[in-house]
Formats: sequence, C-alpha cells, structure tokens
Amino acid sequence: MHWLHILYPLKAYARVSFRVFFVLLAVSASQSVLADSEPQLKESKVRAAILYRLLQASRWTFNQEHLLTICELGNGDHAMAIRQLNEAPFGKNRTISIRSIDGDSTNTQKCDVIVIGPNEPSPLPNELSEHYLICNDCDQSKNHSAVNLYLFRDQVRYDINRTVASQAGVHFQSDALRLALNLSN
Amino acid sequence: MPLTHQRKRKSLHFRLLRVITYSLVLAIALSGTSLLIIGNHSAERYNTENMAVIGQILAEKIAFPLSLGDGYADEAEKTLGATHHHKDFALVCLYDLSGNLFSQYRAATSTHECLNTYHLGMENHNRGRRNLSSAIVLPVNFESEKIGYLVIESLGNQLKETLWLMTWAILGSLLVALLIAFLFGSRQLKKALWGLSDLRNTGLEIATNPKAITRAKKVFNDEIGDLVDAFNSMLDALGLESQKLRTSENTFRSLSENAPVGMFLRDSANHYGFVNSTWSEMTGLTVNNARHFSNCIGTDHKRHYIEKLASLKTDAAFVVNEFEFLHYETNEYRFLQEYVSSFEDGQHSHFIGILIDATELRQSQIELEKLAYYDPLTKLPNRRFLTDHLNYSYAAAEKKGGKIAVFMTDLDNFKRVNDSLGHDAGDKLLEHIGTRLKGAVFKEDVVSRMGGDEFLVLVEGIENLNAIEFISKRLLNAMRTESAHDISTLPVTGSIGVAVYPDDSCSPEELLRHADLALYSSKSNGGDQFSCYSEDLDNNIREQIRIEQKLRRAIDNKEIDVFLQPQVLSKERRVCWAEALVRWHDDEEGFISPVRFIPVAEDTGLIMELGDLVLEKVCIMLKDYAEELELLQIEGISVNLSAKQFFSNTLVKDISATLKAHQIAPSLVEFELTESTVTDNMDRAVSIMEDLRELGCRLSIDDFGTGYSSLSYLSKFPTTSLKIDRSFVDPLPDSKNDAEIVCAIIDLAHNLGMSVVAEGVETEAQADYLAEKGCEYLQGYYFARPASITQLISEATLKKNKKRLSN
Repeated sequence: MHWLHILYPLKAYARVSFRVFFVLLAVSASQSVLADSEPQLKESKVRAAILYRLLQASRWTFNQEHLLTICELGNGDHAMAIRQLNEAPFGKNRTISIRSIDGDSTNTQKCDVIVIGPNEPSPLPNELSEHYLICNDCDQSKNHSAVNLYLFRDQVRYDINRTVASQAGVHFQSDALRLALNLSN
Repeated sequence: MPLTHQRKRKSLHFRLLRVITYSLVLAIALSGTSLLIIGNHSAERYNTENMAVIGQILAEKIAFPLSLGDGYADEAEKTLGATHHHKDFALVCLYDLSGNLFSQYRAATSTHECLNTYHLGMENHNRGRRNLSSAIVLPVNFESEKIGYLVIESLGNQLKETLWLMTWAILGSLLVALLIAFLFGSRQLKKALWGLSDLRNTGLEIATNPKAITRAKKVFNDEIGDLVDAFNSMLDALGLESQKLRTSENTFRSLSENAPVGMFLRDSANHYGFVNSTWSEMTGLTVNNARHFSNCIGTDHKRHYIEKLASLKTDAAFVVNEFEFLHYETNEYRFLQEYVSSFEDGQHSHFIGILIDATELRQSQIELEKLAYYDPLTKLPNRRFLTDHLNYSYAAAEKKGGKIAVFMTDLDNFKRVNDSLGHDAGDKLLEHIGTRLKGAVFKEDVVSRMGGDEFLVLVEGIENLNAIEFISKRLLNAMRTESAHDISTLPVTGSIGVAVYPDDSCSPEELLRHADLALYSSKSNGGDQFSCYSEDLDNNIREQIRIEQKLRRAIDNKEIDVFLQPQVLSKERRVCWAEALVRWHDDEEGFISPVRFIPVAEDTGLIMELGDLVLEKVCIMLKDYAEELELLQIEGISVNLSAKQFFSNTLVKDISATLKAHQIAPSLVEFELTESTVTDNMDRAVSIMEDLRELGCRLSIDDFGTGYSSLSYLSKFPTTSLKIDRSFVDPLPDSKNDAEIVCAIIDLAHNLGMSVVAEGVETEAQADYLAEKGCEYLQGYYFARPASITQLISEATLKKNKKRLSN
C-alpha cells in the first residue's frame, strides 16, 4: 500500500477545503480587484488561481508521479497566495507541493513548475530555463517564461510564449492558448 | 319510382376514388399526426440534446474562462455570445460554483435576463414561468472539477419552426399524395375497372340483342378477370339454355301447329296469348279476336262452362268442358271439348289447354245410341229397346192389372231368300216385312226387330183371345211376301208364337221365353201359322230339351246304333244294298223312335255329330263285317245326310277322312240327300254333290217328289239314283195319280241316267208294280225291316239253313 493512500481521506478533505478556498476566491474574485480593500491580496489570489488553472491546462513531464512540485521564486507578496496551493489536489492522483526556492534558485531538480515573481533573481539561473517557467509579475524572466501573468487594465492576464513552452516541453490546451492575451511563438 | 326520388348515381370509379381519398387522408392525417407527435417529441429531444451538446461544448469552452475567475467574465461572455447563431437559444447563463451569475448571453428576441443566482430546479420553474420550450442546466467542469453551472434556456422557436415545417410538409405530402392518387390512381383505377366497364357494355349489348355471341374481354388475371370469366361462362350457359329453349319452343311450336287438337294459352282476363291453327279452324277465331270465344258457346252450356272454369281457380287441377259452339265464320254448331288447366307466374293466372272437335264423335255417340236401341236396317226398335220397353209395360200392366201380349215372329224360309237371292234381297225383304208389320198394328204397339229374321210385336191392353187371333192373322198376312215380288220371287211366310201376361207368365223374361216356345211350335208345325203358348207346349219343349240332353250323351257314349234296311233288286228280288238307319235304345226309356230324336238333333245341331257317328259306324260295319255283308250280298250302304251336314264346309273333307281312316272304298257308300235339302241352295248343292261324286261316293235324292227341286237343276245333280218317297208308294198300285207320278219319276230318273229306288214297299203288289214300271230297287218292310248287322246275319244264316234243310 502506497503511503499516499493513507492520505486519500486527507486528500478528500483537502479537496473540499481547496474547493472552499476557491469558492471564497471566486467570490472575492468576482468583485473588482480595485474595489477590494486589499487589492494586492486579491490580485495575488487571483494570480494563484489563474496559475493553478493554467497548470491544469498545461501538459508537461512531471518529475514525480503523485506530486506536482511548484517552486516559487521571488514571488514576494504573491508567495502567500501561491503557498495556499500547497497540498491542493492536482489532477486525479497528484498533490501540489509548494516549495520556495528563494535563496536556492538552482535547486530546481524536483521542481515541476517554477513560478517567478517580481523578486526574481537576476540574472536568471540557467537551470531554470529547462523548467516550466511561469512569470508571475516578473520582469526579466518573462521572455524566458512559458507563461507570463500580469495586470492588464486591472485584470490579471497572461501571455503564453509557445517557443519557450515548447523548449520546456510544455503544451497548453487550446482554451489556455485562446485566453492568453498574447500568444507569441 | 320517380327519377327525382332515386339516389343519385355514383360510379364505382368515383366511389373507389373517394374511398382511396378518404383512406389516404385518414392515413396521412393519422400518420402525419403521429409523425408530428413523434417529430415533436424527437425535435424536442433533439433540441434538448442539441442544447445539451451545444451546452456541453459551450461548457467545455467556457470552463477555462470560468475557472480563471471574474476577470475573464468578458471572455466568457464572448464565448457565450457565440451561441447567437443558435436562434433557438434565448438565454445562456453561466454561474459559478456558488451560484452567482458569472456571465450570460441574451438573445435579442429574449424578453428576460439571467437571474443573478442559480438554484437547483430553477430551469424548470423558469420554463414554466417564462413560457420557454426547454431549459437545461449543465455543469461546467474543468479538469474533472465542477466549477460552475451553465443554464441554457430555449424558446423552442427552432422546434416550432421544425414542427411547422413538418406540418406543412405533411400537408404538402397529403396534397401531393391526393393529387398523385387522383391522377395516377384515377388512371390506374380506370384501367383496372376497364374490365368492369367492358363487362357492362357487353351486358348491355347482350340485353339489347340476346342472340349476340359477344363475350367480355378478360384483361387482367384478377378478381375482375374471374368475374369476366364467370360472366362469360354464364353467357355461354345462358346461350345454351336459350338455344335449348329455342329448340324446345320450335319443337312445341311445330307440335302445336301440327297438332290435330286446338291448343291455346290465355290469361284470366280472357285475353288469348296463343292459339294454334287447329284451334282457329275449330272456332273460326284468331288470336286477335279470340275474346269472342265465350260468346259463341251455346247458351245451354255457358253457365256450366263458367262454373267449371271458376272451380279451376279454387281447387281443381284441370277441368273438362263439353259444349256446343257456334263456329264464328260458318255459323255451324260444333260440339267441342276443352281441357283446361291453370298455372301462376307470380301475380297472374294463366290458362292453358287443348280444344277437341268432338262433333263427329258426338254424332257417332248419338248414332251408337240409336244403334243401341234401333235396328239400323229396318229402323225398328231393337231387342234392347224392346226389353226395356217390355219391363216398363210389364210394370204398368202389373200396376193397372192389364194384359200385354207378345207376338214373337220369325220368317219361314228366309234363309232361302238370303242364299238364293243374296243378302241385299234379304235385307230389303226384312225392311219390307218390318214396314208391313208396323202397318199391321196400332201405332202405340211396339214392333221391334229382335235379330235376324225375328220380329217381336208388343201389344198392350189385350182383352181376349179373339184379339190375339185377329192380330196374329194380320201379322201373318204382313209376313207373306206375295206383295213383294220385286224383292223376292220366293214365297216367304212367317211363324208366330204368342204369350200373354199374366196368363202365360209372371215375368217379362218368362213372357218372352214362352212366346219363343210358341214360335218354335209354329215352326215345327210347318210355319205360316201362329201358336199360343200353353203348358203342353212348354212340356213338349221341355221334352225336347230332355231328349236333346240324352241324345247328346248317347252320341258322346256312342250308344246310337246303326241298323241296316236292305234294298233288293226289283227283278231278282235279291239284296244288293242297304240303307243305314239310326236307332237309339235308351237304358231308361227303351227304344226311342227316330221320329222323336231326329228332329231334335236337327234343331239342336246334334245332327252333325249324329251323322258323323253313323258314318263311322257304317265304315266300321263295312270293314269289320265285309265277309258277312258279302254273304248278305250287300254291296254297299246308304247313309242319310241332313241339310246341316250336307252344307257343312268340311263335309267332303270329313267323309274322305273317315273313309280313309277305315280304309273303305268310297264306292261302297252312298249318301242320301232329301229333295228339300238340295233345293234349299241348288247351286251349292250341285257343287257339293260333284265333290262327293269326285270322291267316289254314290249319291241319291231321297224323298223325291216331296220337295221343290227345279228340273233344270235336277239335270245338273250328279246323283246316281232317285228314291221315290213312301207317300207315293203307299197308295200303289190302286191310286192312279200316285201311279202316274211314280211312273213319271221313274221315267224322269231314267232319262237323266239315274236309277230308281222305291222305299216304303210293304206289299207284293207294290213291289210287282214298281218292278213292272222299271223301278230298279225296292226297299220296305215287305222285304226286310231295319235290323242290326248281327241280326241280319243271323236271319240270313237261319234262312240259309232252312233252305238247305228244305232242299
């Protein structure tokens, strides 16, 4: 019996909790970001939600069978929202593991996805280029990221760089591609 | 039925087409309705499925934007907006998981908007409230995670449009089907029914001309084809029957036209439908004016005729009417017989029958009736009439206590007139006698012809014997034919027998019988006289009857003997011949004289058997006693022949057979015929005598001189001898007249080449005289009495012995 099986009930609980989270997130997201008393928090949450959905809409090679390791790097204020994704279910058999690689940006072997925030290291380590990079309001790394999350007209939008994504072995669903504000080859 | 009241004619074509149309309409309506219902259901389901599919697609498309949150609501709205080309979608509402409206699409035609929040079952509620065709809710899933709800509401316009389209299509199909059915089906129907049409035309043609040989055409091998076959078969059968009927009618017509009886057919209204030519000939009417038939029926018969016909209507199967009918053209009365029967053909009665002209039959009947009661020759009443009248007169006399006399008359020698002068002369004589007899009595007296030459006169109211004598003499006079020389040159007289009621009888039959007896007595006494019935007469007659019966028995038992009386040669005085004389010795009465029984034999006809018996016995004698006869010198035997025997048609044949049977030479037998016998019918007598002579027998005329033989015939008689009657011999030799007569007879005989035998010689003087005058043979008691052969033999033997002794 795999040890994760023990977690199944927990997983179920976690799913429910995660859903509740997203319900709340959706409720909070339904309101204008600018009208919220904590717009930054909301934006983070929205970014986290979009990140989560984009990951769901993406296909790449995972490192581990039952785990999706999301390494966040320099997300700053956004990190908290991202960290709330920890242990969230992902797909049928996976669980999200959030790992921060701030200060150890080269320790990316086990990272399935690296979310680079505004506090990105500069220059960006080469090791990162092999991974699925998501720029979450980053600056320098956006050209090296498969996905770039940013605010556009007070709405969190994303762009997809298919070349980079392709180099990282990432493929997106058509919907994801369609809703990308910009789609660059 | 007036035409206006008749139902309007609708052709089969029209009715079939109507049925097809109704069926088609009904079928299509039902089918269409079913299709509509099914189609509606299918359309709804399709619509729902379509909505579901589209919704599913939409939900998949909208899932990602929804998952990205409110920020992508515009994108979601754009995606939802893509459903605008689905005209049937009224509203597409996207709700997040918490039920808040995320995004929506509202069609321009929609009058409603999405609710801000979603709850389960709201789509059905909305559907009812908003008059929607359908509404579905689909979960929006992203990566197997429900993230929201998609509510699609449809007005069902598409559905309605589809339904309308279907309806129009169905109606259109109906119309097209009706049109096709009408055009194509009508044509096909017409084609299919053509056979019926042809059948109808053929039927009309046959109806117009029943003899036509047209037949309906069989086009298709279907039920109509079968009907055509059946129709043609029926026509063939009808044709055959019609032919048979025609043949039968022709046969009947031919029979009726050639029938010897009248044939007719009429209805109860006296209208004649058919009469044949024979009927027209009988009545003088034709079928056109046959209504006058009943007017021509004789008034005496008309009522009965009508009554008989009336009975035909009620119970009789047929009736027979006889009536006088006045021929319409010739105005002659005919006597017709009509045989009529009736038959019904539905409502009407008809009479059919035959008519026979029975006029001649009727006349024959009348004639027969006349014949039944009247003698056709003399026109006098006949025996039957007399019998009936006698019964009536008898009864009347019995009642009144009167007397009636019956005069039974018979003509004497009438047979000679018939035989000598022919039957025409005899008939004329009878007619003459009948007329004279009628003239001899009063008109109220009945003169009838009883048959042959026998008449009977019935006289009522006889008072006494004088009247009887008076009437009898008048009748005798009437029967004498001196006044009828033109009819008969032969003298004819009559004999009468009279019987009177109540003196002589107590019944009409007895009266007649007694009169007959009295007549017999008159006849026996020579005729031309009348005799009244008496008891003695009756006794005599009874005696005769008794003798007859005994004689018959004696003949049958061969108890009659034959004696021989020898004849001698007058010169030598020796026996040379013998005459056979019949003798009868009765066990009860002893010797019965021939005088008593010979007349009875002749009257009764027994003389024939007696004569045969005598001849047979003579032949036996000649054969068995040939030697004795030779000793007696009897060369042959004479046998007497009566008139009846002589004139028998088989005389010569019987004699020849008897002689041959006993092997007797005919020359040994001589037949003696009395003169009166041969003079009855001299021509025939000559012929018979010649036959007997040719046979070889000898012939002798007996009792010559007592009859009325004509000398011219005497010369023709092929006789060998004449026998002089004893009446002429007896007075010899003293009576000069008799002597002269005897001499004349002897001369006559000799001149004619005949020998003479004198019979009744009882004295020597007679014998001498006769021998002297040349009479060759003598016979009589002087020489020998008749005796039997055995007696003669014994006497001869005795004489011979005596002579020998004397010598």
